[in-house]
Amino acid sequence: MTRDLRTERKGRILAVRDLPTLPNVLEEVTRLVERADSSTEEVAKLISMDQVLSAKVLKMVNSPVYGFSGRISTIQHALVLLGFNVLRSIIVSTSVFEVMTENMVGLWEHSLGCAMACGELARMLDFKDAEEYAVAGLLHDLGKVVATVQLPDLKPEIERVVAERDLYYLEAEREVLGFGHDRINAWLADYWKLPPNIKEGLSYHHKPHLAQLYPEMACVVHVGDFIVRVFEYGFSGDVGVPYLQPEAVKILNLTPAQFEILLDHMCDQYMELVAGQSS
Amino acid sequence: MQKIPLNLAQAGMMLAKAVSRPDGMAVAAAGTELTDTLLERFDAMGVTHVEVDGRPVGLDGAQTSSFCATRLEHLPFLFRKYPNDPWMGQLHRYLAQYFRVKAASCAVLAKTADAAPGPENAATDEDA
Repeated sequence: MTRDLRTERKGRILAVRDLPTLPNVLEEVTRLVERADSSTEEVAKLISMDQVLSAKVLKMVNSPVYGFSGRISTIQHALVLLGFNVLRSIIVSTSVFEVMTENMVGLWEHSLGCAMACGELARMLDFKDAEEYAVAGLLHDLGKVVATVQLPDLKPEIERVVAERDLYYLEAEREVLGFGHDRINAWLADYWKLPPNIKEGLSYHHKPHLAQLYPEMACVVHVGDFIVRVFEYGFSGDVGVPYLQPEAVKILNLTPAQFEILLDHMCDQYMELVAGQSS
Repeated sequence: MQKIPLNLAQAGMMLAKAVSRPDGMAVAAAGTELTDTLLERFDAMGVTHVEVDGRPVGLDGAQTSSFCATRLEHLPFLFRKYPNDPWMGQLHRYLAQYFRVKAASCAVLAKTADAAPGPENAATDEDA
């Protein structure tokens, strides 16, 4: 594929006109957070002014992903418990997944399942700010959603390559678009000013051993993606487990006993979700 | 020797390895014969698995409808791209064994639930 064609497609991906827009309030909130004298109360008040956004954020923070199911009733409480980085990423996810078409529900479930596994793993490993790992899991396939929205003509071609040649979605993206969703994730993270640790989780989840700044974040998302695919919760665009990088297991110091506990926890959670869907 | 979930362990089985609480304290030695009281105590202590002599639990039952049995069935397809990779092969075998044990464990739980009086029966009892 020529460099010109790749550049043209990158341009279409990032065409601001059609990119999911983030709520205006987020800009103001970001400015406020950057001020040294701002308080959590002020930030919460500003977010709460957008009622629709607040409702969506509260719905998300009370989901099983963050481990506070049904216990967070105000934006201020969410801010204190989860921090601004997580809340910002949740706002991005609600805005992006809002543009999802009906046939992308499987991708939403896959992202949610990955977020649950990432949060569980980070908590088990006693990582600080485990919710940030969960949110990176939630956003790890952001690039797939945006590519589908921005380049709708190429989505069927990617799906055809996956089906006919039994390739991974990532491989098919690279062939059809000239780049994968991991690269798109990095562009979007810059564009939406996501925190650097989340950006690294999103852009290195397929090659976590190459992550330079936050290898643990990339490794957690990598393992989370593997787990959700083992349990086949949701649909990420292809069926099969990705290669689990042994380096990722080493970087996380993940022991076989811990891996089994993680499997047990995730098995129970996915079973509950599947049972809830079929009842 | 076979590692089995606690709900598959039964009185009369012999421990092949010592049992420890989650905090590491040993609570029963290898060679101990399991009794119902001992199993209840393990459960209360948070012990989830025990290793017993022989292979007393058949894990190849036909629980084809359970969530874990389905996972077990799908594993060869999920790992189809790594037929000759030793690391992925090892993971595949590990997960197959994990889901085999889990499926057997789920089948026992389901059987126990079936045997327990249902909510309708309980309501009838109360009414009576």
